[in-house]
Amino acid sequence: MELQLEVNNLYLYYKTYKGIVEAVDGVSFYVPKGMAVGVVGESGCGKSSTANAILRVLPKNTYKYEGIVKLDGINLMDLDDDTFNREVRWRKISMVFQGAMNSLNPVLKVGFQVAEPLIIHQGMSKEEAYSKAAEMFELVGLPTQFLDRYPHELSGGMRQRVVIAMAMVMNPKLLILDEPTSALDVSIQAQIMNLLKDLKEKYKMSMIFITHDIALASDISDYMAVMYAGHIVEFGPSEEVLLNPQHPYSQKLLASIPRLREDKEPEFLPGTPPGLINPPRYCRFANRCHKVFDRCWNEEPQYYKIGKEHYVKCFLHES
Amino acid sequence: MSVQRYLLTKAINLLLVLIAVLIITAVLYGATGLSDQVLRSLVDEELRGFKQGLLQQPGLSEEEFNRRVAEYEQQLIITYGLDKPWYLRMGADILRILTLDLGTTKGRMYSFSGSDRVSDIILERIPYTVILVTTATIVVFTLGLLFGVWLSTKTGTLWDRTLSLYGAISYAAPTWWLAMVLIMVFAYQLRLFPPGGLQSPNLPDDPFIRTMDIMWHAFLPVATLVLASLGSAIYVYRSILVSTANEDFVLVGRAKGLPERTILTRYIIRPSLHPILTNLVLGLAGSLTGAILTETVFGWPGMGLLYYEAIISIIEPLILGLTYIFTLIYVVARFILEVLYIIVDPRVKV
Amino acid sequence: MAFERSAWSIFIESLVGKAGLILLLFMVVMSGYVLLAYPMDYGVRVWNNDKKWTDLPRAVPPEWWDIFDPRDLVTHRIFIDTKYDYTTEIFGMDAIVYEIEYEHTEDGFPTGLTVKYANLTVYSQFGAYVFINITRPDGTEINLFFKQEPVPVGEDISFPYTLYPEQDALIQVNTEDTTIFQLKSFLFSQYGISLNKSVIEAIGGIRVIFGTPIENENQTDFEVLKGLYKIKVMFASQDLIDVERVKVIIGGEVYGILGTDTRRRDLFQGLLFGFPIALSIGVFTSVLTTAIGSTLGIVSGYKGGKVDEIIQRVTDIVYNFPFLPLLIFIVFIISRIPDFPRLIAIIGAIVALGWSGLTIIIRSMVLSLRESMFVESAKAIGASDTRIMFKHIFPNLAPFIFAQMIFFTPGAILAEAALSFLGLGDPNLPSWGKIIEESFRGSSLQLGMWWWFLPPGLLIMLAAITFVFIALALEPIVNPKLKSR
Repeated sequence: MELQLEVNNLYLYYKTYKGIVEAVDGVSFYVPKGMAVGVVGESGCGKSSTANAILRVLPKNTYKYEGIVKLDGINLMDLDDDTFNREVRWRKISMVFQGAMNSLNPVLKVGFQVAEPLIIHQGMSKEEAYSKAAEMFELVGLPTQFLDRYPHELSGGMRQRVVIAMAMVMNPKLLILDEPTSALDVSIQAQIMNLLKDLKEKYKMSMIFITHDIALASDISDYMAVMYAGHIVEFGPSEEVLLNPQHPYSQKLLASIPRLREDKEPEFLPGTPPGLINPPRYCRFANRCHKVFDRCWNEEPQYYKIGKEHYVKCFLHES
Repeated sequence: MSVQRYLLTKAINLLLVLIAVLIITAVLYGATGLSDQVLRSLVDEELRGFKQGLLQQPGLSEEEFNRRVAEYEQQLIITYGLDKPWYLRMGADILRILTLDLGTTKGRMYSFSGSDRVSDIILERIPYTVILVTTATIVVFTLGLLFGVWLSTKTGTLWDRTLSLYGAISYAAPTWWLAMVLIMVFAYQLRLFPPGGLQSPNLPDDPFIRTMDIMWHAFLPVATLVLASLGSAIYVYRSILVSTANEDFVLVGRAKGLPERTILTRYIIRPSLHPILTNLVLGLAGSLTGAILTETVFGWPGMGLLYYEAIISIIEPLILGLTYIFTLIYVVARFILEVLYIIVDPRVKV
Repeated sequence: MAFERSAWSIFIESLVGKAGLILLLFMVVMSGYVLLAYPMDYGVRVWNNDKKWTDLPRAVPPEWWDIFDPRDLVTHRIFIDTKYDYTTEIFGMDAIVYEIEYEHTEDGFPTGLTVKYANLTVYSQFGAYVFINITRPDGTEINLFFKQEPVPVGEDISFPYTLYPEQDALIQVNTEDTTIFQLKSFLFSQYGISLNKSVIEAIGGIRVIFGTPIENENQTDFEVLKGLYKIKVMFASQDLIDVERVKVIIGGEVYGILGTDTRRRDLFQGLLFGFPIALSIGVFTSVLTTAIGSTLGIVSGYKGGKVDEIIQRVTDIVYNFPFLPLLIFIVFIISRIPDFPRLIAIIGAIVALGWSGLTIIIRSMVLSLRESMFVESAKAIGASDTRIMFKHIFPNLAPFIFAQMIFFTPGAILAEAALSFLGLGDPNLPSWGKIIEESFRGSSLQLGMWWWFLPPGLLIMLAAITFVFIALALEPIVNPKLKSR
């Protein structure tokens, strides 16, 4: 099995006046070629920051940024900014952002925004870029007349399609999607998900699908990564993680989903995750864990492999 | 609603404003008896002259004298409209003025070219005010944008706090007082600029020299207007730019790998132009009227000074006409703003 | 982790909030002091009454200016004596002597020597004679001046008779003709210098009185004689004589905390008065404007329908009025009505033109509130419209309305100052704007009288900044958009 992306011990810390936010704290996972990895977790657990770290969208107050991010075997962290921008950014990896409300520049036509990376990165002429943009529009199911429209002239679902078109315009190998459907209502959500599944199928795109909605993630993901407080606590093929979660947090997370056809009541997990400024140096889930024991309060667990591709960050599975 | 209907509604509204202003002005003028008072004194003055003239004539019996005076007085009363109460005069006056037939000052004030038609007098002065205000606005916009952009990259630093303080303080400074400070320092102490007026006396006829001279005279007034509003402009622009820079689409732009320069111009400045322009045009409309005070201090012969002179000398037609023109300009400026809104920002839903 | 900090603590934490409050406190204290210490008709009785200011020098900078001026500036001194110091005999008459001692330490000459006296009571038709003489530090003595104070003849004159009962007698000693003559003979007898009266007048009598001559080519110059001077004002008469008060004024080049204007008025006193004026105008105008604006906004937004339509129309029209020209016009017109209190006119005009902005904002805020749950439930319970508006909608908007009120105040203060500057302010009250107007008309700019127009302008700024700071500090608390989630 070939890996499109391999992430090892990725760190991203920000410096704020309140302290240092350890948003991504030694995260490791991988994305096999042509597969989608769902990254799920509560708000603030570091999912978006991980995405930003991979695409190197760093804020001015970045404190620590290190680790290994291998794309097709090449460590991207070795590349300097210029090379990264020239060869990787948007060409090999691109991103579909959340809140399509605001991801598009309101004073530029949507067609232009899709064409823009081509003009800037590949030096294409406006006509060429626009025709490629038109292709993209067709791909995502938008009429080409819309190329000349402004974002506010489109509905939420259409805007999301534009954002997807924009992300795909340079035929990237890896597409990161950060809450791509959160701002949409359910029926549109379904349409977009179908589009994404379609694109994944047709173009063998590798994806990272970030969301807080596990049900949604499970729809498209081949692999699941469960994130908690800056760490990935469980990673593995979707069926295994969803049907047989091993980390106590994953278990609780899955138990909290209401099931349509079961009589089981959704469980509720009391408490809140630890803040990311000066997080605990022991297991971060300890204070809410229903299976906690002594050791959990003293050290941080490592990744333990419990299946062919199943990893858990929990002392329960130390082997 | 289509663009045309929207603009039409706005236009009608603004027309109502003009009428309302005229009505209020006329009512205040009439109901307080001022209108009658002034007209009466004009009549008396003419009568006086007439009587003087009569006295010169020999062989006029007292009876005849009184008769002639009374007759002339009646004529005058009719000419000046004193035979009707003010509210009847008002209607005709308002309609007249709406159509820009502003009447004459009946000899109480003349334009530089010698006409006593109100429209001539005002028209003569408008360009001077416009020069002052538009120059100042352009300078404020340019400097404000430059500094605003620079300042937006310095959020949270000492610069930021200092300049926001400066913005607050310049909001509090009376423009006309600043004018006085500038005059004392630059005109009287340092003798760099003239303390007021439009032109120096005894200049050669060369148009270039004349223009330079006018610009030299305009420097301090423009500097005053700029100083008074630059602080808050910088701060407002900076806030707008910072708020835009924090928007998601800017992040997206960076993720797309656009060069920082493009991000700045296309993703930060351009979307910010709409609120900045709003601010600008609002300010423009405001400074047109604020010019009254600055022009008075500098003796700059624009509309503002004219307004002051008209009020002090109580020249009714000029006051009414000028109030109308001020409102008209103000209202037209607002209307242009509405149009600009629509052009500059496609977001504006109509 | 969310915790509520009270609005007060947020406010007080910010530097601008603290600064604003301190300034406000300062202004309130000053205003209070003025209202307590000064009569209400101060403007008419004192400020605009030139007679009250004759003791002060004309158009001089403040005393502390001496630190910055390279020349050693002469301080203005006013000596008041109410009891005579001793008696003596002059020309066979008994005389009472008022003597003052003056130590001159500066390098410059005083600007003048003035003697005033009040309530000179004589007991017979003889009247009295007044003699003024000065003993200088070098021991020389000059008999500067004398005059006769005759008693007017008439049937209604009875004795004792008092001269100068209302207004002091004023003798500008250094310019009096008699004095110049005396100085001429003094110069000759003391120094052997012979100068014409016109020359002495040109040089200035004061330089002779307070200086010693130095020969300079073919010109006579005088240099200052420093030291102790004794100035004697003597009243002589055949009969009894009494004087209530004698003032000797040594003209100075500086005076007071903020100097004087061209009408000799102490600017510090005048400017003090500006505090209560600015505060009251600011407060009244903004309270009224806010009250009207928000009430109309709430009613319009909540009631909807015809009422909303009408209010909206009117508001929209007033909103588009050009503020300044109309303000000037309205105040001017009202100023022509005799006896109409000007301050009320000004406040009224500002309010009349200023309420519409708030109405528009409040209305849109109310529109969104109207659909909220608690209003729906209040309606379901059957609460009346008025009740809903007051008890439910208003409290939500109150912080915002309060902040708007604060924010409006500097505008009102500046508007009043502008009106005063154009001559439309209250003619009796020495507001800061008025003082600037007087300074402008009084050529303070040409004459470099910075102390006349700089302090009032700075005070206007101070008053405006006070409220701007407070408003800025309030913003994070009341701005619904900036509220942290």
